[in-house]
Amino acid sequence: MDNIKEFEAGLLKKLEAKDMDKIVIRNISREIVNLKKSGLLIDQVYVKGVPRLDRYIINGIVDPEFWSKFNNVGGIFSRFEVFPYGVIAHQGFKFNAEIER
Amino acid sequence: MMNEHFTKGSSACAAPFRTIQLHPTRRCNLCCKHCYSSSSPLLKESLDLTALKTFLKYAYDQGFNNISLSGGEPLLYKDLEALLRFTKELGYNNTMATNGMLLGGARNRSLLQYLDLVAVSVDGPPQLHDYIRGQQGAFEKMQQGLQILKELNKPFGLIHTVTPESWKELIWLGAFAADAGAKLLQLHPLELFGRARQELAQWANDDLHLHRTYILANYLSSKYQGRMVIQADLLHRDYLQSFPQVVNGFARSCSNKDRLAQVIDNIVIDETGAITPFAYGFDPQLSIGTLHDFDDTLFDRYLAHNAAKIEAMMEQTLAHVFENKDQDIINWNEVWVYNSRNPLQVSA
Ligand code: SF4
Repeated sequence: MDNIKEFEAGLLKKLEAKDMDKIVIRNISREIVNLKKSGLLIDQVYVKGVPRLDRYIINGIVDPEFWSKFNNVGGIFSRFEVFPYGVIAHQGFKFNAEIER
Repeated sequence: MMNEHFTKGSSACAAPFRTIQLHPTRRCNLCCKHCYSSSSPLLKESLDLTALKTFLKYAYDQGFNNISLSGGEPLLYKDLEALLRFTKELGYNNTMATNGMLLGGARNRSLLQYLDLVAVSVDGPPQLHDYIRGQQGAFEKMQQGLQILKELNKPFGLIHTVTPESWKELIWLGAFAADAGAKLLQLHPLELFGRARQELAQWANDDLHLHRTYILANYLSSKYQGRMVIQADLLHRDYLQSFPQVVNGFARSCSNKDRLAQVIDNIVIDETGAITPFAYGFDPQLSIGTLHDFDDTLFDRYLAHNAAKIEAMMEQTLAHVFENKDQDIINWNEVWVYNSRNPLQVSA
């Protein structure tokens, strides 16, 4: 819990910095999008005022190299969400997955 | 068996929900500073139920399957219960966006039975929420509404309009939503449309704010995975470039381009009965028609006249987004509505 709080405070601080070089923040976003493009959960566009709970996945392309690191988990990922923690703090990637049996 | 969606080159299909966003009235108990529909307690006009039902039956047969009620405050629409009962019986999924302050009465509690999902707007911690809502105590009343939803076991989410004043509160908001029992937290960046244009012009989101929202939303998504869906209505340009079919129904390999519901995922009906494609505020010159004057050929005629034009507009808008390397994070809805009204000049 303390770790999470510390991480969140650090994340906000990093994002808040007024004189922050925009390149840093752009790189964080790019890390996120690269993970998404590796065949993970796909974004969908929602319009203002339309609440929705569904998700759908199109053209999820699994990068074999990326996945080979995680193949010990086994099974098929039906949903997978990641945040590049390592870009913010040097804790490596944290990842969570839901596995479809 | 490998999930077909993960197979490289698999076909890209339309969203399972094709939505009709209904604004049956713009009457509201509030007069919020950021209201894109400029709703207020003074507005009285509302949709005629009979005309609406006829259209909704037609639209269902044409492939639309999700009703999303907005407003105004939908709970102030006098025929709401009859409407929801009708759409439920037809087979629609019913959802509603509300300010959550009027859920206490017997009539409103009762009509919740016809709703599959209720989304309550929260603008930030109490002080910020009350400021934007223009009413002291609005946060507390909204919280009572959440309590009612929880007691009745009704699936609900929170919708938050992200402003330069609120992005720092997103981690707080995630915790607030999770503690309240929300299943969804939807983050929509402020668009300077409707009343927001006058009241909150100084709060326009720049690219840096959009990056911040995008990063925090992805963080929250990871943090609350399995417990709550975090939906940020933002796309990274690189992502959109790889998957334009997320927004472009015409680019989906399995879309039947002769069916309006397969290329336009969302249509809007306002309190006057006007039927608009895509999103609130889209160019009225590309209006689909009105509830008061339509027949069974409406969608087909609309596509026959406008599909090529809209497809070209869509491609131009996407090309423009891809070219603009200064803007990484895209609020597609805002860009698309803006470009529909201010077409891009295309060089010969
Ligand atoms: S934002 Fe919602 S609650 Fe506020 S005035 Fe508009 S319709 Fe009413």
